[in-house]
Amino acid sequence: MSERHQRAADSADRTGFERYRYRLWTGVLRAEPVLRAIQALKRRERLLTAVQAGLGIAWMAVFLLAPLAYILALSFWQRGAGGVVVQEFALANYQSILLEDVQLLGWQIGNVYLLILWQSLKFGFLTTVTTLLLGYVPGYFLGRTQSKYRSLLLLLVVLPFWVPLIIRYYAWILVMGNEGMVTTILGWVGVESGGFLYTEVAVVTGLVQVLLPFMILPIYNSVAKIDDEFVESAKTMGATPLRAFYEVTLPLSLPGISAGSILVFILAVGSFMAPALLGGPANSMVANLISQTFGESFDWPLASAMAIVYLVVLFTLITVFNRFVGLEEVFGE
Amino acid sequence: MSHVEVEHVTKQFGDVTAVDDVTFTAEEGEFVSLLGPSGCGKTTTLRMIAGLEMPTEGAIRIGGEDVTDRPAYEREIGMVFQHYALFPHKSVGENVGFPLKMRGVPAAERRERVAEVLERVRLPDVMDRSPEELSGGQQQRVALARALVFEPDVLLMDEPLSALDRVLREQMRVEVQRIQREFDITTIYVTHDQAEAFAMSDRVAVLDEGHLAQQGRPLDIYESPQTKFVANFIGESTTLSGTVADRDGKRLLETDAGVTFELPAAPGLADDRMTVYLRAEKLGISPDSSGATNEFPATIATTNYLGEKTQFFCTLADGTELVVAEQGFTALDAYDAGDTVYVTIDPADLVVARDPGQDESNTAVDESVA
Repeated sequence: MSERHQRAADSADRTGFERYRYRLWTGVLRAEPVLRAIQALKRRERLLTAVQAGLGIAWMAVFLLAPLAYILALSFWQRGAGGVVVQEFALANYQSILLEDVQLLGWQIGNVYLLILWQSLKFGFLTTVTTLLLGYVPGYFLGRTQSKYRSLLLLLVVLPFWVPLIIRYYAWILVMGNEGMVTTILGWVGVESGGFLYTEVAVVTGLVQVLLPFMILPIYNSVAKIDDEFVESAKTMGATPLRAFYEVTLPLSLPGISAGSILVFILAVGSFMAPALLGGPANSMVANLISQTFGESFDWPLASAMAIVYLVVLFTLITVFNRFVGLEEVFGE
Repeated sequence: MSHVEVEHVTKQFGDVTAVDDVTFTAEEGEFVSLLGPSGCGKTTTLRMIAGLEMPTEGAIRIGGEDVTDRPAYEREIGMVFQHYALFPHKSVGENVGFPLKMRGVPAAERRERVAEVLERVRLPDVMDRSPEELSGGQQQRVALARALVFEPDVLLMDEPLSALDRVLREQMRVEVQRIQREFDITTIYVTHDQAEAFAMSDRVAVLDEGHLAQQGRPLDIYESPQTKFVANFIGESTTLSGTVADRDGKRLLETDAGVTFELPAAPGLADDRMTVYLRAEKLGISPDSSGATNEFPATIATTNYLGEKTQFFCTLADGTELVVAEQGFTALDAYDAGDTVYVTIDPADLVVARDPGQDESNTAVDESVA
C-alpha cells in the first residue's frame, strides 16, 4: 500500500470531530490566498529566512530585551516621595548599594547588598557542590543501566516537580523544625539540638533537594551518550573498572557535569522561596532583598540597580567558568 | 597446543543461546576469521575471548593459560572495535599510549614506543592531533596501533573495516594483513564479508546460528562445503538432493528435481540420499545441447549483467531455481528470458555431500552477503 493510500486510510479511521478539524485545516491551508502567500514566500527563501529569524528576534525583544532595558533605565532614575519614580539620571542607586555601609542601632554591619550578594553566591556554590556529589551517582546509574525500569526511575527523578515548591519547603520545616524529625532522631541517640530551621544548613538542604534533578538529568544525559565501546576498549587495554571510570567515563561526562552545575548554580543563587521559608533573617539572599526593596520599600529604582548588579556579577562568573570549562560542549556547537 | 583455544564454549543470554558449543583454535601467528551472517554469534564469541562476556559453559585458553574466569583487564588482549572506540577526549598519542599507561610505563618511554608503533602502521606525525580530525582509514590505523603497542598475546578485531567505504575497505584489507604479518601476532577477526575473510585469513571458521558450521582454509571451505548453510552463505550455489543409483557401471545421482548427475568417484552407496552443491560460476551455459555428461535443460527467468560477470537465474523443469554465473560474458543478445538453455557441469566440479535430510533442501538459491 502506498503512503498516500495509507494516509487516506488513516483519515478514514478518524472520529467525527477529528475529521471535521482535519477538513477545516485542509480547507484553510488550501485556500487560494493562503496557498499563494506560501508560494510567494517559498520563492523568496531569503525573505523566508529573514521572517523566521525575525520572529525569534522579535520574541526576544518583546519579552526579554525590552523589560531588561526598562529595568536598566529604572536603575538610573530616582525614587520620589511615596514611591513614585522620578525620571532623573543619577548614579545614586549604584553608589548606595555598592559603596554605602549601613549602620543599624549603632552597629556597623557593612554593605548589606554586597554581604547578601556574597551570601547568595556562597549558598549557590554550596548547593552546586552538594548536588554534584549527590547527583552524580544516580545520574551515572541511570545513564548506564540496561534495566527495563529506567524510564520509571527517570520519572521518579522528576516526580518532585509535580509537588509545588512551597509545599516541599513547608515539608522541610516539619523535618527540620524544633520538634521535627531530625531533632527527634538525634534526641534518640543522645544528641540535643534545637532543630536546624532558620539556619544556613536549612536553606542549602532545601535548595539541594529541590535542585537535585537539574543536576541528575544532564549527567544522566551525557553518561547515556557514552558508547559502551569506550569503556570496554579501556578494559581490554588493561584498565580496571575504577580506572576506566576515571580515565574515560568521568571526562566524557564533563559536559553533563558543567551543564548541571551551571543550571543549579544559577537557580540556587537566584532562589527566593528557600531563604524566605527555611532561612532566618541572617540567611536572606539577593532575590529576597530585591523583592523587599521593590514590594515593601517601594524603591523600584534601587531594586532595579540591585538586579542589574546581580545580573552583571552572575554573567561575569559564567563567562569566567566558560573560559575554563568550555560551554560550547554544554550547549552544543 | 594451539596459541588460542576455544573449547566447547556456550553463551546464553536469558533463554537465548547466542553461542552453542563452539570449539576452534588459532595457532601462534595465525590469522583466523569468524565468518557468518549477523546474529550468528561471531561477535559474542570474540567478546568472550576478550573477556567482555563470560561464557556460560566451556573454557578459553590463551598461550596455554586458562583465562576463562579472568576479566578483560587481566588478559593481554589487543582489540579493535567496529567503530574504533578512540577516546575523543585524548590525543592520538594519549590514545595509543593508554595501554602502556595502564601498565605503568613511564611517560618518556611511552612517547617513544607510541611514536615507534605509529611509524610501523605508517601514520607518523599525528601524535598530538585529536582522533576526530583523522580520516576513517587513519582512525583505523590508530586503533590498530593502540591494540598492538603493548605487544598483546592476541589481536581481536570486530568488523573493523565495515565503517569504511568500499575502495578504502579493500585497501585496508591489504594493510591490515601487512601489519598482522609484520607484528607476527595471532589474530582473530570477525566479519560477515566472505571476500574479506577469504582475502585475509589463514583459516576461516563459519558460524551459523551459534553453531560452528565448518572451519578450514578458505580453499577447503569454498571447494568442499560440508553443510548447505556453508554452500549457500559462501558464494552463490544451488543445492539439489537425490538418490544414488548404479547404471551401466556408472554411479548416478537422480535428483528430485529430475536432473541426473554422473558422480566423479564413488562417495556413498546405492540408494543413499546425497546432495550436490552447484557453484554458480562452475556451471556452463549454452543455447544448444552438446550431449556432454551432466548436461541438463533449464529456462532463463532473468539475466543480470554485472560487468565482470553475468548471472542467469533459471528454473528447472520442476520449478527449482538455479543460478548460473559466467565471467566476462559478452554474448548477452543470444539469451532472452523464457529461452531454453543447456547447463553443464564438469563432474570434477560437483560438490557432493550426504543429504542433510531437510525437506526444503532442494530449492534454495542464496547469494552471499557481500
